[in-house]
Amino acid sequence: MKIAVCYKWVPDEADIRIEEENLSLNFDKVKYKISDYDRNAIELGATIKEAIGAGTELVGVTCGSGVEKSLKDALSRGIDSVYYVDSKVLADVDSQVTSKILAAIIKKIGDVDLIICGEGSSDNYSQQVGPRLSVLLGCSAVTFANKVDVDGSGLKAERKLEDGIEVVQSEFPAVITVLPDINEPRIPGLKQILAAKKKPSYALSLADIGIDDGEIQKSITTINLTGSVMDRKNIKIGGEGVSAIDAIEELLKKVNFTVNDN
Amino acid sequence: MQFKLSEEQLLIKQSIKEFAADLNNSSFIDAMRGLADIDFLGIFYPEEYGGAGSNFLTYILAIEELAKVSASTALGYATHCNMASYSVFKWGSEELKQKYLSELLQGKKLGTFAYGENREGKDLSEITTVAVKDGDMYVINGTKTFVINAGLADLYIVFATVEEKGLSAFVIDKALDEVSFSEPYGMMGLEGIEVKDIILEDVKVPAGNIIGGEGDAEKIAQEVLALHSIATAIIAVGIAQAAMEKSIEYGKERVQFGRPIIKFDAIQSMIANMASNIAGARLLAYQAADLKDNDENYHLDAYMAKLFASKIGQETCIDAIQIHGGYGYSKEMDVERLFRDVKGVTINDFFKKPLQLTIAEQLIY
Repeated sequence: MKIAVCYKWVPDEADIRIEEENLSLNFDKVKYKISDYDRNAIELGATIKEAIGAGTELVGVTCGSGVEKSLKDALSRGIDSVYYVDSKVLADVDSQVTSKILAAIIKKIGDVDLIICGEGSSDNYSQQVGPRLSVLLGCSAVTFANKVDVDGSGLKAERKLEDGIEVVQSEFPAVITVLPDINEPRIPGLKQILAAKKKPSYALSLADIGIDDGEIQKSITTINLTGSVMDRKNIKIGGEGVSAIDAIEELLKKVNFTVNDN
Repeated sequence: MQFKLSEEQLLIKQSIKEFAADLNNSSFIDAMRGLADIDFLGIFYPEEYGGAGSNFLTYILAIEELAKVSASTALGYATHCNMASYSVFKWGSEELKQKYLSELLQGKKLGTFAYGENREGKDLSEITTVAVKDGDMYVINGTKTFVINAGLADLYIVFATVEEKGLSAFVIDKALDEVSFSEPYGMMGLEGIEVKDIILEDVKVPAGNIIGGEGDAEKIAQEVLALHSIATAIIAVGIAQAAMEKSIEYGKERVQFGRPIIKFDAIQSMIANMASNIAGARLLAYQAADLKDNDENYHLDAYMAKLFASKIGQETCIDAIQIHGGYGYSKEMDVERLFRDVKGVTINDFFKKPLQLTIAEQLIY
């Protein structure tokens, strides 16, 4: 059985600074990490591999600009090998392009039974890559998975929906996207980190996967991206010397809420 | 000299940081089990004994990350790794290593170091615990004081005097009936670990449990305490780093005179001093660890790292409390605990003279 886990190498949100003047995002001190939800995807892959045992191969798949730096991190989390495309033309691409590249890599790997993705990435959270992959690869898509059981021919999954839980099953090949509650990603052990350097990784060019640079066309362009800052009104309701009604009136004035006397 | 951490070291640092995030909710024993699960008890030991085959510099990266969250865990961990396990690894017979080292590195046994004694302090020349050879056993009598994790640990590196031969070190198993413990000391800080006396009354230890030979313990103590100086230096650095980060965080939130206090020159000046001092102390510790990794004499650098980190660790925590104002003095804020903890790790472990004199001696003679 061959399992592919797709992961995205994203800026660590903890390092992003919001500039006070214009709320623009400052990435100067940003370090990168494997997207949080993709860690859940990797953990699911590693757990399935451990449960099924011999003959199961867990392959990591990624693309983007500078993703080579992610390899040891990914390989220390239970993945056997990584196939990746690291190209400057892939900086800041949208989900459509990402899906196209990932699907081409997966086709290149060949004979993949199960593709696992995080429900969304921790930077853009478009939630599109998994479903798009299933279309491009011509297989089923199971989204919002909160529990997954796998046997030799297919999977059974619990989908956590807003107002209920749906249990579905699908034959392989299939794409599954997982929610963060599905598991607790393991912390890579020292020996796994040291062993990562001995595991193989395969750098592919766009040409290797049959894609021309000219095909890298975004369908969505980000016009502006700013942070949001919680604007505290500094009004204490029930504070000493001020009635609750007065405090609420003051609050409504501050948020420009017009009170209709009628 | 430059300490550019490798990609692996950065991943190891990240891993231990993720592990440490939950430390305040774990007991020391649970933390040690968790550290064993991710192979962090044998970082710088050879793979043949179950270690990870990495180096001492990588090990102190792990200590610093632990210390940022729990100085108690960091100190107990260091005592286990670079005092107890190291004594067995460096001077123990092959038989002793096979018997104990793998278990120590896998976390199946917890180790500690028992060398100090009451009143006479830690001056090894005045140690009154005695070991008398009796056939193929030693019979040991005495009391060792202020032993970290006493009662909790399974194995104790105990220093005792063998008549005419001098100071010697032995591995003693807690399971022996003749070993008992005092009540724990109530400590100012480092509340996550227990400190007790260990009382040895006619404890019979196999002759093979001696570490090195009879009379070898002074050199063992010297090296282990030098190594532990690097560990405690980096713990002080970790505590100071946490105090600075909490000060910056608080300074951004706390508004005085219409703006966050972090905007005030006086606060920024304190933060700048903290950051510079911490960076300097960290580099000293890295340098000592790097010398150790390259089999060079690291003792002087280790002592200097400890001296400087102790000084700036305390200064940083005092300034952190100052930045937090009245809240900083209350138990509501972490900096109060950090201040009490940093004092604990800066206590002098040395047995003959103050740390400054130990350093000066190496420079002027």
